[in-house]
Amino acid sequence: MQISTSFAVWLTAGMTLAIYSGVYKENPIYRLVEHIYVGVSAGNGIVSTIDNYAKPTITIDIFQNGTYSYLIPILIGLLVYTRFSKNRNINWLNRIPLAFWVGIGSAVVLTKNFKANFISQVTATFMPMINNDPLIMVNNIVMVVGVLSVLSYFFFSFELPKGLNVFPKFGRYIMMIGFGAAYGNTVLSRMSVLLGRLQFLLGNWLGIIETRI
Amino acid sequence: MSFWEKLSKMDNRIIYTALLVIMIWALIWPMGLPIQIGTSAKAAYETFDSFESGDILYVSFDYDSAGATDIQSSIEACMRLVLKNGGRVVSGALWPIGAQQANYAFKKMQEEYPHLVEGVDFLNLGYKPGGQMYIEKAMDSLIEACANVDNEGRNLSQFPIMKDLVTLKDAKVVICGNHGSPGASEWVPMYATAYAIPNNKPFVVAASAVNATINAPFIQSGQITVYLNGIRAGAEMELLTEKKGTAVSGMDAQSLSHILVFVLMILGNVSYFMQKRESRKQ
Repeated sequence: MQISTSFAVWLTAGMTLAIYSGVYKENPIYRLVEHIYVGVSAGNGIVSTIDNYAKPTITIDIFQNGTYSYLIPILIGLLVYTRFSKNRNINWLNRIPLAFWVGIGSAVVLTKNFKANFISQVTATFMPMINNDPLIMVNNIVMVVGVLSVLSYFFFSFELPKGLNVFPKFGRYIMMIGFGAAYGNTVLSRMSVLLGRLQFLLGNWLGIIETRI
Repeated sequence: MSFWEKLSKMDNRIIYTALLVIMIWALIWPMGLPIQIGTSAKAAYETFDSFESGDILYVSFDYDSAGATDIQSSIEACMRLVLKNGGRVVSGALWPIGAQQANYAFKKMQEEYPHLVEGVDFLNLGYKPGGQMYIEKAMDSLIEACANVDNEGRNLSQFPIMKDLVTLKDAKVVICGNHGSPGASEWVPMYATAYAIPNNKPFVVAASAVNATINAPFIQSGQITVYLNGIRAGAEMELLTEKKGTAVSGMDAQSLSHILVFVLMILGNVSYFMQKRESRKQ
C-alpha cells in the first residue's frame, strides 16, 4: 500500500486530525471542524428527508398515482408552522397537529411499546427457582432476587421492616454491577471509534497498514 | 506532593498519548492475540447460513460512521453468508448516514461477488424517516413505507426483488445495526414483539458496545434472538466467514487499549486508598 492521492481521503484525514486536536487543547481549527460537522449532518438529514420521502410522496403518490387523501396529513402537518405567527387568531392552529402527535404517540405506547417494554420484561422474570441444572438454577435465583431487590430500592412508601431491609442494599449492589457493565461497554465502544479512525489514518490515508488481511 | 498524589493529578493528555502509542503499535505490529468464537456469533452464523436461494435478508443500517467500526464488520459478514448461499439482501436506514453505510457494504459485496445485479440480488432503499412509524407501515407495505423510491430516487416497482418483498414479513430475517435511537428500541416493539417472535422468526441485532446494557433486557426476554456486540462480534463473524477484515485486524489494538484502561483504573484506586492512608497518618 502507499499514501493516498485522493483529495477526499486527505480532506477526511485533515478533518479527523482537527477534531482530535481538541483532545490536546481547545483551538479554532477544532471549533471550525466541529461546526462544519454539525452543519453537514443537519443539512444531510434535511436533504435526505426531502429527497427520499417528501418529494416522492408529492410527485409520485399524489400527482402521479392520484392519492389526493395524502394532502390532508400534509396540510395538518404544515399547521405546526402557524406557531411562528404572532396573530392569536392563527397560531392556535398549531395545536391540531400536536394533538395528532400526542394521540398517535399514546396509541403506539399503549398498543406496542407497553407490551414490548413492560409486559414482556415482567413475564421474562417469571423463572423457575428450582431446576435440574444447578447453573441455570443459580442464574434464575440471581435474576429473580436481583429484580425484586432493585425494585425494593425504589420503594419509598414506608420503611421496610428490619429483616427485609437487606433487599434494598442488595439491590444497590446489583445496580452498581450494572453500572460497571455499562461503563465497560462504553469504554469498548469509544475505543472502537478511535480504532476506526486510526485504521483510516494508517491504512486508507498513509498506507502503512493493510485494513484487509 | 507524594507519588500517589501526583498520579491522581496526572494530566489527561499523558493517558491519551499512552493510548495512542499502544493502539498504533498494535495496528502496525499485530501480535495475533487469540480470538475465541462466542455462542452469539455461532448462532448468527447458523441463522444466516440457513439461507437458501431466493431468501431475502432485510438489513436496517441504523447507525452512522461513529458506530461503523463496531457494527459494519458484523453486518457485512452476515450479508456475505446470505449472498454466498444465493440469498438476496435489501437494506433500509432509520439514520440518514445509514444509507451511505449500506452503499459501502454493497460495494464491498459486489467486489466479492461480481455476478450480483442491483435490483435483482440486492437493493438499497436508503434513509426513510419516521422510526417506529416507518416499521409499522413497512409491515403492511414496504413500497408505501418507502414512498415508492429507493436510495437513488428510482421507482421501486421496477425492481424484481421488490416483488418478493411486499412487506417486512416476507423477509426471512431482519437484522438491525444499532447505534442508538431509532434502532433496536424501535424494532423490538414494532417488529420483534409484534411479529417475529410469535411467528418463530429470529430477530438479529448487531450493535455498538455502548448499547449492550440498554439491549440486555431484550436479549434476556428473548425479544432479540441473536445479539452481536461490538467489534468483538465482528471479528468472530469475520473468522467464521473466513474473510478477515478491519475487525480482526483491530482486535489487538482494542485488547491492549482495554488492558491500559484496566491498569489505570487499578492505579487510580490504589492511589485513592494510599492518599487516604497518608492523610490519616498526618
